[in-house]
Amino acid sequence: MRQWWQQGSPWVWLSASALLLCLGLFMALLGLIAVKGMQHFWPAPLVQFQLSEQGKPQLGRLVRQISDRSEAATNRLWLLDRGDGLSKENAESPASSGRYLLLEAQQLLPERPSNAVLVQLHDGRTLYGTMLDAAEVWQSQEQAETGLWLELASQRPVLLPAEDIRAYWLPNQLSLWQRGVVFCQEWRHFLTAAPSQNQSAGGIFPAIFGTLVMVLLMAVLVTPFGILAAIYLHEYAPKNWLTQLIRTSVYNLAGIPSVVMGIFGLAFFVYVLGGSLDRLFYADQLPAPTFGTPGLFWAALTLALLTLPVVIVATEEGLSRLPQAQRLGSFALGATQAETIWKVVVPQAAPAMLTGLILAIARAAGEVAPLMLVGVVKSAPQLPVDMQFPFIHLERKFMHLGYHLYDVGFQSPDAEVAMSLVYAIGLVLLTLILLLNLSAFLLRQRLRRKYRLID
Amino acid sequence: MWTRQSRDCFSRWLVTLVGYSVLLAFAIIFVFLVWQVWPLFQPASISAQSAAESSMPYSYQVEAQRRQSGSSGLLWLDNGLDERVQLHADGRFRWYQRLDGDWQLSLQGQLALSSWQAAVLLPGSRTLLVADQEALVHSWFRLHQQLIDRPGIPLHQSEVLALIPLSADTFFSLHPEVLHWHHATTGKRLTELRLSDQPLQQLQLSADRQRMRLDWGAGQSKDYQLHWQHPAVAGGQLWSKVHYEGRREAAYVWQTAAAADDSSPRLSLVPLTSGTLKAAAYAMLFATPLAILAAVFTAFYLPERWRHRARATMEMLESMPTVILGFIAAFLLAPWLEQQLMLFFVLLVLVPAVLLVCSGLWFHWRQRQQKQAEQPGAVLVLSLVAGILTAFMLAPVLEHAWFDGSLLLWLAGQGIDYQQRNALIIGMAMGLAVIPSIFSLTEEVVFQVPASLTQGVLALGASRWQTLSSMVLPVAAPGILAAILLGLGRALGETMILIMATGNTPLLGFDPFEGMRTLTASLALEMPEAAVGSSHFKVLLLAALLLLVLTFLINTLVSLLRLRIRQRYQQL
Amino acid sequence: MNQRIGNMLLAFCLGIMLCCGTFRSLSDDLDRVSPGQLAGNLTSTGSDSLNSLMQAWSLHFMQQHPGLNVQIQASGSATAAVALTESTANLGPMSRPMTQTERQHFERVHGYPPLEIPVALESLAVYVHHSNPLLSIELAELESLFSAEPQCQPGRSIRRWSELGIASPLGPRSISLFGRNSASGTYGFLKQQLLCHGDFKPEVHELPGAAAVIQAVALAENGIGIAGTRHQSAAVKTVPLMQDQQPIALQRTLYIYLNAHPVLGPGPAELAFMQLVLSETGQQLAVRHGFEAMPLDTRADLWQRLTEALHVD
Repeated sequence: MRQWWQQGSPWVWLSASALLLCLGLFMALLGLIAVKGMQHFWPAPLVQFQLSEQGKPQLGRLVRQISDRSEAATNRLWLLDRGDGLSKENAESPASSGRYLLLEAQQLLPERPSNAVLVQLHDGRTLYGTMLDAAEVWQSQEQAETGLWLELASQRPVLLPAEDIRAYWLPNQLSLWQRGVVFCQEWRHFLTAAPSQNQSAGGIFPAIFGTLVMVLLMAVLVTPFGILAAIYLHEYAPKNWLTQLIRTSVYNLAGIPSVVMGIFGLAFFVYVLGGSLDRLFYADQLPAPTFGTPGLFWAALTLALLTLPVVIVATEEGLSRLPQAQRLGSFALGATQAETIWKVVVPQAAPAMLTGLILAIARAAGEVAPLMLVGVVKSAPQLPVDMQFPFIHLERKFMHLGYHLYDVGFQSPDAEVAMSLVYAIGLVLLTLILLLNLSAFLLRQRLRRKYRLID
Repeated sequence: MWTRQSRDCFSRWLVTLVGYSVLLAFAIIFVFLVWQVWPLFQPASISAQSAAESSMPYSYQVEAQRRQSGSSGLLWLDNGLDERVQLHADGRFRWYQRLDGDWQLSLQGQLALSSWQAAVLLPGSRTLLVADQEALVHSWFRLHQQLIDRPGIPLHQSEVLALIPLSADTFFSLHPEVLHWHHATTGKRLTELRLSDQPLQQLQLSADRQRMRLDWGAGQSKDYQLHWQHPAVAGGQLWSKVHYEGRREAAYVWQTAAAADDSSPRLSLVPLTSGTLKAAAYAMLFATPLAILAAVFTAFYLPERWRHRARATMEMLESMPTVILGFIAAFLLAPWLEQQLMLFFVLLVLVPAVLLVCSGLWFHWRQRQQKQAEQPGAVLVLSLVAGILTAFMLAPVLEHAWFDGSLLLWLAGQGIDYQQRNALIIGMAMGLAVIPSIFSLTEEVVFQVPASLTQGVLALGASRWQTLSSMVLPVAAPGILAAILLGLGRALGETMILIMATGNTPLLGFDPFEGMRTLTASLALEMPEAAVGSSHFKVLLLAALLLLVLTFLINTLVSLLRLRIRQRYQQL
Repeated sequence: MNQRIGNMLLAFCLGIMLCCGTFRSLSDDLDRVSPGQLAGNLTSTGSDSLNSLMQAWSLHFMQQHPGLNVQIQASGSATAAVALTESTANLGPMSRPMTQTERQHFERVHGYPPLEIPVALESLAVYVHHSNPLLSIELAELESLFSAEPQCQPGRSIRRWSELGIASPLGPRSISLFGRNSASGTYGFLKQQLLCHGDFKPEVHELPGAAAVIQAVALAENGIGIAGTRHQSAAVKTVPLMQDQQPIALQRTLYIYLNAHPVLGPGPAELAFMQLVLSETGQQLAVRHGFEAMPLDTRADLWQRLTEALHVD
């Protein structure tokens, strides 16, 4: 026993399992998001249920199963038929024209009708119904009008015009392969379409686009600044207290809470700088502000300040990996310091700078708190980049993936849809960030190997 | 002409400039926040102003009030809205309230003083202020059919000519030769104005109560400008307990009251600061042991290839968006923990216990086999899984046996409230967010302990564990401390998890089963609603400054520790 | 010099106004849709409760006026007042009336009060978990639940379900209270109507969004929350609100605030937007989104007032 303790066996076991636990927790988290995010697009079967004794059976999709510990019978929560609200006038009503019902187990009917059809409309609404007759699909009643004959919850056959329909499928008939195809199509739609029905349907393209544009703008702002600062710190700075102070402020800049940076961005960049810009250059448009309001440029600038230390630290690391002999060799050939730096050092350290940049982008893409204050909105009908002069609209507000996730999760009118949609958005955001990180990691690996060879 | 030398020179200047501007950027952030926050701590002031012709709508006759209170012994006070008080010279009072247009007597009685000099009912409020003979203004307010006593406001002079209401929570006390300005809620004196020895006849106030006119009669009058942007904050509301109107005792309250006019915002930073510290403390409690143990194991025991992979994975997880963690914590973890609270505690105790037991058994078995006690991965994973499974099986049984089937109900029976969004949830979610930071730095410093040291100790016949505990950890200690501080800095500044999963309840204390409201969450939630320049806005900036200073201290400490450990390694 | 520019500006504005006057007199009829000659940007900042409806209106509006672009930011009613004062928005949807302080702020900057237009009605409901046996709740009880110190009626603070007459297993447990954050109009409305200007308990969870309130209540067996009726979901149960055994509704008016000069009136784009909002189509949209429509005569009066400002006499 004593020996066991002295040899540190318990500590080794505990620390090893701590590592396992840490990694396991994270993997579980990633797995959860991946599975739940994927599930959102997997064509789930439509089921039938009966509300009352005499009523006709109706169609719906299982949303959540609720089991109360107190009660023996399981209650089930279903998403009811979304057949009502079909008429044109209802086109702008929220996606929750469907109802959510809490069903008792016995109200669920055993069979899954094979002709149950799920129709996605262009405006983002989803309808469940029964396809009337296979022969009548797409059959033109009159020459001009083609569409889909459906029986909806209202129990009357309806002709859905073809131009309203984005996609439709029969979920209970699909083979595994067909399900996969539908799954991919829905993903593609999700990634390329704009949100509709109050963010509870449609895609997230403006959010992805907004994130990318903001992050690229930030990269343009932060790269030269960060690289020059790193070069100063590593190549020029004398070893004295001032340099130490600068170094400390780099570390401190990295430690500033992002929301404080957001506050600074709002109070200083937007209200002070933006306000003065407006008075100087856009006086004709006052009191409507141009730059005196949160927007793309201020968001990018705030995040640039936030990620500056990341770029500096990574670049400096790259510079310090470069053998001193190369610099001395360059000096020996008569090159000035500037020539040595710009022609010998920087090109070789370029991958390190790129690594820093990618890490900065990954950090910026995941930030939400500062953006809530300096320019992100829940819906922006116009993209920040378009074909109108001057093409990049720095003053516009934009959508952002992280904020979109927060918004859908907390402020969506349709709480049930939001729950699964959030995982899908989270999956996209996470994939983006993990890919960026992975590429930074691989770049750094290559860099290390290269210098190991030189050494 | 661009010669090579001038190019060199230019490049040097440019690079140096950018280098310095990093320092400048940090300084600007700091100075800007300080500059914005500064006015909060300037108490109100009164400055003389050239007289304007316009008349002022509110006028108070000094003589009239004295005469009324003195001889006839009856004074009618009015709050200008729906409350009226009839006050007798001996302290008897009748309190009327307007309900549906009629004045109704709601309260009558005797104040706890026998004589008084001046009294006032603050406009728009239910607070009655009465100045007694001993330089104290008593403060009462009506709550239903009760008079609630508030702490008195000390005066600096015992002779009071009049009390003059200015707003729902500030008033003037007029003494011979001096006018004092007080904050009624906090009881602090804001400022004073020296007057000539002539008796003042009348005091007038403008409609927006930004200007004041003093009238000595005989056409002699003077105008003043009143500056009072942040009287409550200047009165010490931020860090001390305040007895607000309508409450039964003094408390630290954060309630910004954006929608109601008649109550001033209650801006106490105490609950927010305590919330921030609480959240950070629970996160560190969860993250520190896990991260440090994992890092030490990675650095010291894992083979190079695996070490590399573990490190890379952790680094990748460092940039996990916290908005996702917050969502999962609020909508998945919180309900799960409420259902499985017992399981959580059982896991907490049982998993380490099972691991220890398994380790002991394994050790003995190996010894009996006369083999060296190496650490096999498979057995470890198995015992970990076994521990978790046992906990899952044991938890319901124990819950039935000890707590009558429900730990929650048992807790409720003991008077312990369990809120779904609580510090444990935050501890786990935010702990997960700070684990990678602590892990990376700890792993780095432990791994970089010079090989000459460790090999020397090993060569003397020590086991790996002995080397680690007696040599490596003491050497790397400052670095590990730096890692913990780094994690703490990150936990203090985290926002999204807290907004989404804490419930934003401004509670005091460190109760693990209650939520909290943090500085960061308040900043993100309330900044858009705060009117630019208002007390609320400035207090939020103050909160930001507070966070900045806090993280500045921590990060400076971190960089000093890192410097120290680098020097130590170079020396060795 | 400045004054001269000011005079010129005024003359210019008068000129434009006269031109617009003819356009306006054509559009007196509430339901006639003016053709899309307008162009530019409209920014709306404000209430989260009104957000879905604002989006519906703006969608419809942009169909009518393809040249106009409506941007919507919704993070709480209080943001509307700030944004209008700072001129960062043209439309300020709010789920409560502006407070005196907000009005004063606005007036100090612009010199005139903001224009208040009630646009729809919304009922708030009390939600509990779907398994909760609570049948109804008295207004006074609700106040005792949420208030730090009951102000409307004397009462003791309620902390446990048993105090509302709920038996075990829920009875002994504490009540989790869910509400909106302080920026929202719901918060302000409840503070005025339910708490009689009293303070909320510090234990009240302040969540940034009505959906978050519903979700939180759906997931907490001991939860109770207040949010708009239209957020009804199967996982939560609505509890009827009573006052002296009579059912009552917590109904509030939703507003859009405009920055409208007292003589010049609102800008043409804002006016066209309000025309849509007050029209039958606009109100139907409101009903479809779970709100209640404003009475017709009120709307006619409002429209009168909006357009009257424009006719210079």
